Amino acid sequence: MGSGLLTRVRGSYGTKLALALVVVVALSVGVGALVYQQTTDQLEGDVRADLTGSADARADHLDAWLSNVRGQTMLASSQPALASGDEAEVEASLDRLAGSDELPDGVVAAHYYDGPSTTIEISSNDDFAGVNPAEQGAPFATDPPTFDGADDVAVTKPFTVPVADFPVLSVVSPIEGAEGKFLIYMVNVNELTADFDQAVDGSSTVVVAEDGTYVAHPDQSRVLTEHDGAEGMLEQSLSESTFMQHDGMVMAASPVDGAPWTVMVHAQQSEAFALGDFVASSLMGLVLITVVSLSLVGVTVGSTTVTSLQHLSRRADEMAEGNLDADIDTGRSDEFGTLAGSFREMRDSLSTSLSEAETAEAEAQQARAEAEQQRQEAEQARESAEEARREAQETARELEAAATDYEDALTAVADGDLTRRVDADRDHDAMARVGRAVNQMLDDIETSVAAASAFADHVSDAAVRVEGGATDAMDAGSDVSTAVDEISDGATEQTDRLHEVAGEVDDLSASAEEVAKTVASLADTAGQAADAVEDGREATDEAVATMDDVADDAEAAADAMDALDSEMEDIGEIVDVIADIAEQTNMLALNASIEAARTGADGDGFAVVADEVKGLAEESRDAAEDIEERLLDLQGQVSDVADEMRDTSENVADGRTTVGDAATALDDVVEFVAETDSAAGEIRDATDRQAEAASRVAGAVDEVAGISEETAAQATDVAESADEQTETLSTVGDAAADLAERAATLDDLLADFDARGGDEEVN
Amino acid sequence: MALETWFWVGTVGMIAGTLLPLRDMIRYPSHRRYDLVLAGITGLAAIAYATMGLGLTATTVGEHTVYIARYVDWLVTTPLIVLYLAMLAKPSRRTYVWLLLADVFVIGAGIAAALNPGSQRWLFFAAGAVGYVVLLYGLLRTLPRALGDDPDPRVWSLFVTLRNITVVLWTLYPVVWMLAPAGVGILQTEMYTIVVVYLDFISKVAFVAFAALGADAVDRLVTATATGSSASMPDPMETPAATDAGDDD
Repeated sequence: MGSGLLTRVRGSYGTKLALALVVVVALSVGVGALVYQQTTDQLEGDVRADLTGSADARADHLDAWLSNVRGQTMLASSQPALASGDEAEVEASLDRLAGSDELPDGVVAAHYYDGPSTTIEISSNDDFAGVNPAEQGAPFATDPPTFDGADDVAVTKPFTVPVADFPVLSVVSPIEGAEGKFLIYMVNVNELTADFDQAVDGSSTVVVAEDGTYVAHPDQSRVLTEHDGAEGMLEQSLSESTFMQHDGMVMAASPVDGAPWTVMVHAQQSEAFALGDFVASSLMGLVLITVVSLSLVGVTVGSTTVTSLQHLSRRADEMAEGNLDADIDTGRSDEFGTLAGSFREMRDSLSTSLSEAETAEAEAQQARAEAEQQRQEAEQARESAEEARREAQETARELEAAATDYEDALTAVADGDLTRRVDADRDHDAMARVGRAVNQMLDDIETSVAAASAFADHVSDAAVRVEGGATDAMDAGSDVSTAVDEISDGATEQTDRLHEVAGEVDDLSASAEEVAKTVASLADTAGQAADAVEDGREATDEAVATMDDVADDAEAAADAMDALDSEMEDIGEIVDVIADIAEQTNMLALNASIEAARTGADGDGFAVVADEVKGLAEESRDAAEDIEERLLDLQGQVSDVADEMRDTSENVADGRTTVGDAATALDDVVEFVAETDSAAGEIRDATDRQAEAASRVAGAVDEVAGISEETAAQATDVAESADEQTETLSTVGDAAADLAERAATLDDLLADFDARGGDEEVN
Repeated sequence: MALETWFWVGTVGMIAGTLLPLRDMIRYPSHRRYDLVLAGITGLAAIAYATMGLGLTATTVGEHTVYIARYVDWLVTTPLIVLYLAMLAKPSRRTYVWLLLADVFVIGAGIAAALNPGSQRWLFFAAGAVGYVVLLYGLLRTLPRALGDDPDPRVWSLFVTLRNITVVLWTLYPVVWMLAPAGVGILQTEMYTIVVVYLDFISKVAFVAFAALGADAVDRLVTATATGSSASMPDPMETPAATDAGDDD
């Protein structure tokens, strides 16, 4: 509870300020109370001193008066005139006494009083002459004081008598020398206290006798009435100086030495302490005005400060929460206004920073969006590149497949399988055209080569089997071989050109920038191809001429073969004869050996001869059989050769036609090369179209290039294969030579026999 | 110095305080209603003080003198102060009514206590104190709520300042009254007069002065009311019949 309050005070500037002001006010009140207390204490002391002093002074004054009046009375009572008893003389003396300047204050008359008759016989005041005081109730008459002597003086209590309209006090002294006679000074009590100054505002002085009646009182009507104070207080004040506050009054009392009286100075407390009340009122007023002023200052300063701070605090909170549109305006030009201005600047700065940050963020967002867009575009480009790459790969694959197909075909062709064709049904137009051109070319080559090969075979075989006259055929065969070599060379060159074309195509695929050049190169290559074709054509013409010779020679050889055949039949007959001889010799030898056995020992030598003859006969028979056999073979072969030579002759005629066709085909090749040229232009166009994508597909294109290079290499292999084919063709030539050799060998073999007309027939 | 001197001092102060709203009434015609109320507060008080300065309406009750004009002044001007605070907060019409009734009750109880010499006056004093607690609740709770959670900071600042001046200074009146001759009597008549004149001066002239200083807040209030829907807001001009009543005095 207490700590909660403390926390609340600590947490609130307004409460702190209010608390501080309350403390200041409390301090003011406390100081005021202290001042008031000190003032009232001081005032009470002053009042007490004033009242007490006043009472003492008056008591002293009364005492002095009493002494004076006693002395005067005693002195007057001793006057001889009074003791003379003469009425006139006494009256004159009394008048003199009453008129004396030295008469004490308040003495209004002097009486000549006769004690026993209780009668005022003579008086300075005629009104009292003859008055009986006892009847009037004067105490000196009703209760006469006792005197110690003529010098003694008695002072009566105050009293009233009907003859006097004021309270009276009598001073009685026996007249010296006249028994029973007294001099009485009659004192107007009121005059005793008339000159009592007001010691304190509103104070009143009374004299109270020991019986509790007023001896003197400002209110003369109250003289001789009962004192309304407390008995104890009266007793105390009769014996000593007394000060007391009682019943709204303050009182100081001082006893009178010369009489059983006490002088009391009374004052209303309110009046005595009026100054204190005024001081209290003034202090309270001062405190209240201070409180009012402090309240105003505190409330205005506190309220405006607290509200300004709350406003700023709330705005700061709002700013902290991100609301920068908050209105920060205290409407003040003091430090709070400055603070608000600082807040505004801070907010503006924040706002600027924030908007900058937002702008930056928006820009970043935009940049991100752009990046995203670019990324998407890149993605798209990548996809299109991918697609292009796929297409390129597809194309490359197609190209590769085509190349592989071409390679396989060309390899097969190089291996001799001239029946192989490439699949020209390609999606790639240029490749398809190349394929078609290749196929066309291969058709032509196959036709040519097949014809030439068959022709060479026939020549070779014919040459082998033709003895003697085969030399011409062999020469012709050699020529054919040479021609075939040339054709082969042409074909190789063709293959090379094709390889180059393949390379160009490869280059075409590899670099779009080089397409034009490559196409130009391709054009050149095409021209070269055309030249090569031209060369091939010339070679073909030569081959045709040679073939004509071969055909003639073959015809002659065939005729020679026929002659050889008939001669071989003659040889056969001879061999039959030899065989019969050998049989007969054998029989003879058998008979000889039987005879030799009958003769015995003498016949042993003969038997040996017979055995040898028998052996020779058997060898001859074997040789004859062998020869017959071989002759039969040879005869068959020669017959075949003759047939084949005729066939060869026909074939050469066919070959010639075929070579003519080849020439025509080569013309076609020229056209195809031209087509290839235009196709290359289209390839370039296609490559140009491809160029946009090709920049990102360098790798793929490189790959294609690699593949193309591989293709080129394989094309080289194809060329090599073509070379091998050429070599194979030359081997055919060699075979023909071998055949010639074998023919020569046969010729030699036949030469062992006496061949007829063999020399001129076998060449 | 005679009491009349202080009354004349109060008169001059109140007249000086009236000049500000009169000037604003010319300067800002848009919130003349507000300035009229402010001018009523000090203007009527000036009339009351002039009346007392002329020694009129002095009545002796018991042992002390009571100036009826002072209580009539309070009976009229304190509702105007409450009205002005309410016009800043713009509460419901009901709130206007019970706030003004509470205020009139408090002053009425004060008049009854002042005119009653016997100890009965303390009963009236207690009744007035209870009424004052109700009025305090209205000023410290109801009106701030009427301003809403997020009031215009200038209006809020002005309201809080004026409200606090009113609450704190008004709370001093019963204290002064208890200390006055009519109460325990520590304050003597002249000092009581001085203190009350000063209190009156502060609670009225300072109030009016701060209100005039916050004229821009009233501007915002008037603008907001003019632009916003004023259907739920009672027109302050309808309520202050007190202004006319003050003129009749």
